[in-house]
Amino acid sequence: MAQLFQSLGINPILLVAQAISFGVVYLVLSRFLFPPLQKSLQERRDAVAKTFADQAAIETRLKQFDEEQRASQKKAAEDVQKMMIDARASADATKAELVAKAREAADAEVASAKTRIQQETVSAEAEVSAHAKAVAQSIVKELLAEKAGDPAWQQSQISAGISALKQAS
Amino acid sequence: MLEISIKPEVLGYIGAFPLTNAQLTSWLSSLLLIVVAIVVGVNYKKLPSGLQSIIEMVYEFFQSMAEDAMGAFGRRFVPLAMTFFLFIVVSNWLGVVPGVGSLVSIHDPAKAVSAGIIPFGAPAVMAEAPPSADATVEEQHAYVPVFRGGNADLNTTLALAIIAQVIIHAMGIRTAGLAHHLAHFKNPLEIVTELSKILTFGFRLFGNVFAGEVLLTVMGSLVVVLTGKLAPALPFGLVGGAIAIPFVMLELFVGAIQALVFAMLVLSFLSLFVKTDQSASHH
Amino acid sequence: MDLSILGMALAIGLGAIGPGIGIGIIGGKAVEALGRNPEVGGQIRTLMILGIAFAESIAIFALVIAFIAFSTHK
Repeated sequence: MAQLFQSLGINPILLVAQAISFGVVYLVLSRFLFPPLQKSLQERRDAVAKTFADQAAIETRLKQFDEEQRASQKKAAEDVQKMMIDARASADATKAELVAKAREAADAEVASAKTRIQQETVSAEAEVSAHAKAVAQSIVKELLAEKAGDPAWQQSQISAGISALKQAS
Repeated sequence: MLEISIKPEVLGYIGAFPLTNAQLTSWLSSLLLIVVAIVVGVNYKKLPSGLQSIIEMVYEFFQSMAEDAMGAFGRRFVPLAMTFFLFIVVSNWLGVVPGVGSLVSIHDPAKAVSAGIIPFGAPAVMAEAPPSADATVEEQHAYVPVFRGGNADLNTTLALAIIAQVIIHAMGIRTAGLAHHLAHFKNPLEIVTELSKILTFGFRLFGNVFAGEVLLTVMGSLVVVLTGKLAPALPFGLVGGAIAIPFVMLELFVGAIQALVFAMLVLSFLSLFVKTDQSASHH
Repeated sequence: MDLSILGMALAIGLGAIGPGIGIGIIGGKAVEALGRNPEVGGQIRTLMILGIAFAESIAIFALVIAFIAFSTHK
């Protein structure tokens, strides 16, 4: 073993010396190099994390704002719709009223027209019958005056007058 | 011919401490890493640029890996994994720099010149080994490379492996409790597995880096090896250097991958023993 | 020729066969998995590198043995 160590050049003094030199390097590095390095990396990580957090906050605010806007838009649309519905309803009511009024007026007109027509018909009938009576009387008188002597003619005149009377009535 | 040594060569002694070329390079790479870390850490900018952004990228890579393995709890192990990575990768890349391995200190001028070394400056005198130093590294070399990749030395890689295993088990005990941690070792074979992890950790890194250095040496001196002639060294050196370029690229890649593998394995072995706060699914 | 040189060559040569096959299988399967689930590419790549590292370390052991054989024969 010792011979192997010797042929490989392993020397406890040198081994310890190298261990010490590594230890010194480690101490110096962890005194001078690593603290600022770790601090800087940590700061950078924090900064990146903060940026991400800020971004997330901005995004939430944006979203919130968006939602608010959407809600107000929706409300406005609803208002408009409601207003339109109201307007339509009032318009419908007005229309119905007008129509009803018009119908009433028309009905009244029709009714008055009907009565008038009835009255006129009645008066016309009376006039016609009076006129027919007068005509028939005058005709009868004339005929009686002119051809009273001929009984056959008289007979025919009489029947003709009767039929005329019948027709006139 | 080529002199390939599996162990680091001794340049000299500081007291009883054998200063090897691997140790020297390792200290240099540690120093470089420390200076860079302090410069980057002190002038830390909010907006990263250059080196700082690369370091941040590496850190985040290991952080995501630790989070994959252990959740948010794993973040505390990121500095450890990253230190392993940086320590190893800087050392590996420093080992590929021209001059590491090829710049030699000559002890025996005649032999060195016959091996194709161009003398430059006065020959160094091999330091006398103090009597207390053990005999592991006393071999006379005609010349010794001044620099050797830090991880081309088993002492470095085994030290890293032992540190990694000690930390892994210490963390296991600290987070799961001693009794729960010992429950992993009901089967004594598990202890063998854990010990062999030290060897695999250490030898994997050492083998890759050392094989890379040997590859670069062989490729750099391919002309000499194939012709068997020591022709004028400068043109041959240029040709050898040109041949070695793609392998230098390969070694840069391997050096980074091995550092990554080491750090990744530390993290995934940690996740085997560390009890995370959220769940007990890791065991 | 020195037998230890032969031993070194055989150690790394034979030792590289298994890991070579293993790394090929790992890489192929990783690409297959990547084709099936491209969204987890990062994890697959990580696992592939880990698997390759395990397979490769066996070849590296062979290499280390080869170097031990090389450096102890002197």
